This record gives sequence, C-alpha cells and structure tokens, in this order.
Amino acid sequence: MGRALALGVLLGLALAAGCPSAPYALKTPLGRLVGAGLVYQGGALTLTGACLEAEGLRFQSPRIVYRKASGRLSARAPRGELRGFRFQAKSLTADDGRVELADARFVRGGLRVTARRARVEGAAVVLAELAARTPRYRFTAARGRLAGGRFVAEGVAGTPCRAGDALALSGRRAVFDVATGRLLMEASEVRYYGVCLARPARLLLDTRRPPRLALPLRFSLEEGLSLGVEGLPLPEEGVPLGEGRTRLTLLAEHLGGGEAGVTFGLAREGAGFRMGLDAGGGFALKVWAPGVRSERRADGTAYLALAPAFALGPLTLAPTVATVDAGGAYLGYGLEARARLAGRVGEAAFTLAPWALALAYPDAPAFAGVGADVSVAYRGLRLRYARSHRIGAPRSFWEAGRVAEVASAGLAYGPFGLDWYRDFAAGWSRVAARWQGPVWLRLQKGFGGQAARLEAVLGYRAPDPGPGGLALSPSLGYDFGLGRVSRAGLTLALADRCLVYRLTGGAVWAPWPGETPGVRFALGLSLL
Amino acid sequence: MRSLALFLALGLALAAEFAAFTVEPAGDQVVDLTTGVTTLPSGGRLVDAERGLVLVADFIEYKEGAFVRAKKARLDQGKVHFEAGALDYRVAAGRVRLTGGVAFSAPFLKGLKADAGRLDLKARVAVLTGHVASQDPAFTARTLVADTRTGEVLLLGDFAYRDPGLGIELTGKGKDARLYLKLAEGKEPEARTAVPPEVLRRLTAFLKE
Repeated sequence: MGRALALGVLLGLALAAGCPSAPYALKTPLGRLVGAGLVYQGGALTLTGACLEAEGLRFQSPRIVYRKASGRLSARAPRGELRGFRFQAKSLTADDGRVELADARFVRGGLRVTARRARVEGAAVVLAELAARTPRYRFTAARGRLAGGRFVAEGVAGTPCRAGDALALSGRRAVFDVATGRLLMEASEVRYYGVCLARPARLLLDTRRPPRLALPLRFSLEEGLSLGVEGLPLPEEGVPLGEGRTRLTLLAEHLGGGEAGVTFGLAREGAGFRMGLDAGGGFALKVWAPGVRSERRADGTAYLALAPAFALGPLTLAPTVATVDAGGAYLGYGLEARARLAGRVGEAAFTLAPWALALAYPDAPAFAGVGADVSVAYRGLRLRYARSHRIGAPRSFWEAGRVAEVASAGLAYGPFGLDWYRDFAAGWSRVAARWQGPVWLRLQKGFGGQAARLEAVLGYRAPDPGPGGLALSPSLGYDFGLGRVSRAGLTLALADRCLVYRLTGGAVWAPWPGETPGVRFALGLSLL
Repeated sequence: MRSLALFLALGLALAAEFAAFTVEPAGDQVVDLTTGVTTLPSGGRLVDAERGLVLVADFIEYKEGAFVRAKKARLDQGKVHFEAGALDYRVAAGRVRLTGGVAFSAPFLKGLKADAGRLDLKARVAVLTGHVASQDPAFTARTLVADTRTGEVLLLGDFAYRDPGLGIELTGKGKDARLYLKLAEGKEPEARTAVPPEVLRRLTAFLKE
C-alpha cells in the first residue's frame, strides 16, 4: 500500500500531454509511464527509454527503476518539465511520498536555477544549495522555491558582474517574477568592494537588463570650480535600481571665480523645480509642471504662467494666464495653440509643428507670436527649418526665448557624415564634415561673425578595456584661423573585473556659438 | 464409399486396456470395427500413460495411436491442466488442438482463458490465441506461448499486464509488442519486453501450425 502510494505520488497525477509515443506503457490508477523497454526482475522494475507524464511534471529518462521492497523509484538523468520549469537533473527519486532531484537545473524565461537538491512539495519545488542566473545577474542562495511562475529565494547574494563580485547585492529574501523578469529583494544591501553603499528595504531589479549605473558627476573649471551631481536618479520603491523617476541635481558652481552659488533641484515626470542661490544673495527659481511654468532669475525678472493644455487630436490648446515681472509687473492672458503632424511616405518621414501664441496685457502692448518647425528625413538625409514671427515686444524672457529662424541639414553615409547649420537671426552658419571610426575626424567651417573660422578635431575612440585593463581616448582640435589649439579631450577608461570607470575631461579654448570655454570633467560607469 | 461398420453397444461401462490408452467410459462405448474408432458418447476418462496425459470429457472419440477427439474436455498433464469446449489430439504428432473456449492452469499460472489453443505435448509448450486473459498473474494478450516445463511465457501483440503489488499496469501496443514472463510457483514473476533471442526463437517456432 505504502509502496503503491510512493509510486503514485510521482505517477499519481492527472495526465498531461508531452511524452513521445512509445511501444510500452505503464499505467497506474492515476499516472502513466511510457518506455521503449521494461524489465522486472529481482523485485526491481526497470523501464528504459522512459517518459513520465503527470500534472505539472513530465520528463524523459534513459532509465527509471522502481524497487518493490523499498518502494523507491529512481530515474537517471531526467529531463523535462516540472511545475512550468524546464529541468534536467542527475537523478530523480520518489520515496515515501517525496519526490526529490539531485543536481537539478531549472530553466524558464531568462532564469536558470541550479540546485544541489530539489524537492517537490505540492505545487512548489523546494530548492537547497542553489545558484541562479539571469541575463544580467548571478545569484546564490541557501534555499529557494519555484512555484506559480515565481522563484522565491532566501539568503540571497547576487552580482551583475560577469566575473567577481565587486558590486554585490544581498538580501534576506528575493522574489523573482519569471514573466516580467523583475526581482524584488527584501532587506537588501548594496555593497561595492565590501563597502555598504545602501540598505534599501526593498530593492527592485530588472534582471533582463544591466542595472543603470547612473553616476552623473559633474566637475568643471569654468569661471571657477563647479562640481556636483546633475539628474541623479533617486532610489524608488517599485522601480528597478538606477531607474528612479525622481532626479536630483545638486551643484556647487563657480567656486573661487565668478559668482559662486549652489543649485538644487528635483524633477519627476514633467514636473520639478530648480533653485539657485549665489554668493551675492541672488536667488533663482524655476518650477515646471503640466500646465504651469514659472521662473525667477537672479536679476529679479520673473514670470508665472498657468497654461493647462487641452488636446484636440493633433492640436493642443493652452489658455494662458501669465504674470510677468520684468521692468514692471504685468498680468496677461491669452491662448497658445500647438500642433504636431507627423507622416511617412515610403522611407521618407516628415513632421510639421506649427504654434501660435497671443497674450494680451491690459497695462502694456499685446504680444503675439507664430511659428513652425518642419523636418524631413529620408534614409541618411535630414532637413529641418524653424521660423517664427513676433508681433509686439516680448514682455518676458519666456516669450523672447523662442527660435527666430534656423535651418539645418545632415547627411550620413556609413562612417561619413556632413552637417550644415544656419542661425539666420544670429547671422552665422557652420558646415561640418565628420568621419566616425576608431580614429575619427571632424572638420568644421564657420561663416559670419565670430563663427568665421575653420577647425579640425582629430580623435581616437578606444574600445572598452578588458578586465583590469586601461584604455585612453584622446582628441585634439586645432583652429586654423587662430593658429592654435582650440580644444582637447581625453577619456580614461579603467576596468576592474566588473566595472568600467570612465573619466572624461574636455577643455575648450576657442568656443563656437553656444559653447562656453573652460575645462569640464564627467564620470561615467558601466558594466564590463 | 462408406465402409461397412459394425457397432457394438455395450450396456455397461467397462474399463479397456490398450497399448497406450486406458479408458474408463462414463456410459456406452461404441467401437467401429471397420475404422477402429471408439466413441464414448457419454464421455469418460482416458489416460495416455506414455505422455502422462489424463483426459476427462463429456464426449470422447478416439482411435488408438491416431487421434483423440473430445468435447467439454479436461486435459491434465502433470500439474498442468487444460479445459476446452472441443479437443483434437493427434497422437503421432503429439499435438493437441483446443477450441470452443479454453482454460489453462499451471502451478505458476492460474485462471487463464482463451478462445483457442494448441499444445505440443512433446515440448510441453502451449499456444493460446484470442482473448487470452489470466487471473494470476493478471494479464490479457492477443497470443500467448507458454513453456509449461520452464514457466516461460511469451505475450505477443497487444497486451496488458497488471501487478497489483506494484500498483501498475503495463501495456504493449501493436503487432510487434511482446512481453516475456518467467514464472515460478511461489516466486515473484520476472518480466521483460526485450525477449532473449534464444527464447524468442524457440517459443515463436510453435506459432507455426
């Protein structure tokens, strides 16, 4: 009775399709085994070329043996499906109502779990001494369970490193959702070379992608020393590591030169603020949110616009109420209309984005503006033209800050590219030719005003270094008009066994319009 | 041309000794002197001492050294027993044909039934065909070949073999399916689907008429 039950635990589940047809079948009241051959001798039933089908379990084995005296069933090198996971193991045994696997490997989606021992408990598979691998992470755990498309592990240690564990994660418990590829670690710890960086109560990882190692450190020597972080994603519950939607900016600027100040800001999904305080007591604040725009500059000029937007197909209407404080305080009201039309004909794509703005100031002349931005792309060719007209004097830097008239064109063909840009209002244009490759070259010829110059920049982009390696990517620019070096850059990439650290430094001595001279540094980080 | 026959009707059941057969009629015994065929219309008991056979039947017809035909017959050879609706024993060839429903039992096999069968009395091999079903061990088969001396049994074609102790039922499908059983009284049966070639050759030889 007990022996029949032991066999029945394995066999005794409703049938599931899957085993190939075989000449011989073993049927129990509840389960079925098929095989190419059978021997029953000395109290041992041996099925060769065998396959077992049951609910939540199907496997093939070159040899399944059932010993009548001990009531023990054993399968050599089983390979099949268990509780929705593909598996293979060194052996499978069913004994006294328990099904166990030795040296088992389970695969589902991007998850691979190996366990020294695995035991079937109802709808779950309980694992011991296990290691797991996802496309971008490796884990080990003391215990784990596979059930219902989820992998739950306890005593988890993991790393996104391909080798070593310079960046290590650990947690008391981890829940891996196979369908989404997301892994939630509870009571976790993030360590870097053994140094604890963070102890998030709940750490979410997207195991199908490498973690985003955002390290937006800024360092520049423009009118003094500036340093800090810009757009640093803050940890957020329910969002994978490094993908927090709330971004922090904290910069100390122009220390020891110019107007020293501090900038602090937070941004999240189209809303945020950024405030600055300089040594002279100047205060700047910028706030934005859907339907709200406000800015106060350090010189005291400010505006606040409430413009809730209403979409009507491709057209967006935004009734606007604005207060402007710039050489006098004004209250205005009006309407902004924007549209975006995009289309595609064959391989050609185009967009047309017209806009119009009218603001009436009861105490000052009205302002109106109208403009459009047109762009066309066809294979490697890009064309863009943007133009606006203003009627009346703008009351604020917000109204004034719109593009007057610019045009650009670009052509890319393999590693070769050609670009043209013209700012009609500023009266300058630039033509640039570039060659992209490990060795790259950019030639820029400017026309009009301060842009009338010729610059050549030659650089080398080194491939990522291997583990423990170092790579240098230098670049140097020369201005033929000035007869001197115009810019220089160097990226130093250093790798340990896990991460690549990139320090990029750039100095600009002869800036183009829109550029600021100075020395800047940025730090980048990526996984090997 | 029908030969002249002389029928002698004996009103008493008499025991008659022959060279090989011992006959104990249950009723009348009719001897056709022209053909040498003896008929026991009420059946009786016939013993073939040479081959260790005991036949008990409701109707027996035999010719010494040639044949024995019987109805509702029971044939014992040592501890091996057959029952059949009809029996045809070819004495010289040592072969018996069983029809009309056959039952077979041996120390290693109990409660076996089939539609028909053949016995090779020299080799002590039985071939049973059609709805072969055994109680102990429990199996069904299309065809069975049994060596009654060694306890070797071969199931051929579609079969199903049940082992209540193991809680299993083994089935073979198709004309090539086969199961080799090695049975012995009081012992666990041995079974294998890969039949030893020598056994296969030896036992399937009896499938030929």
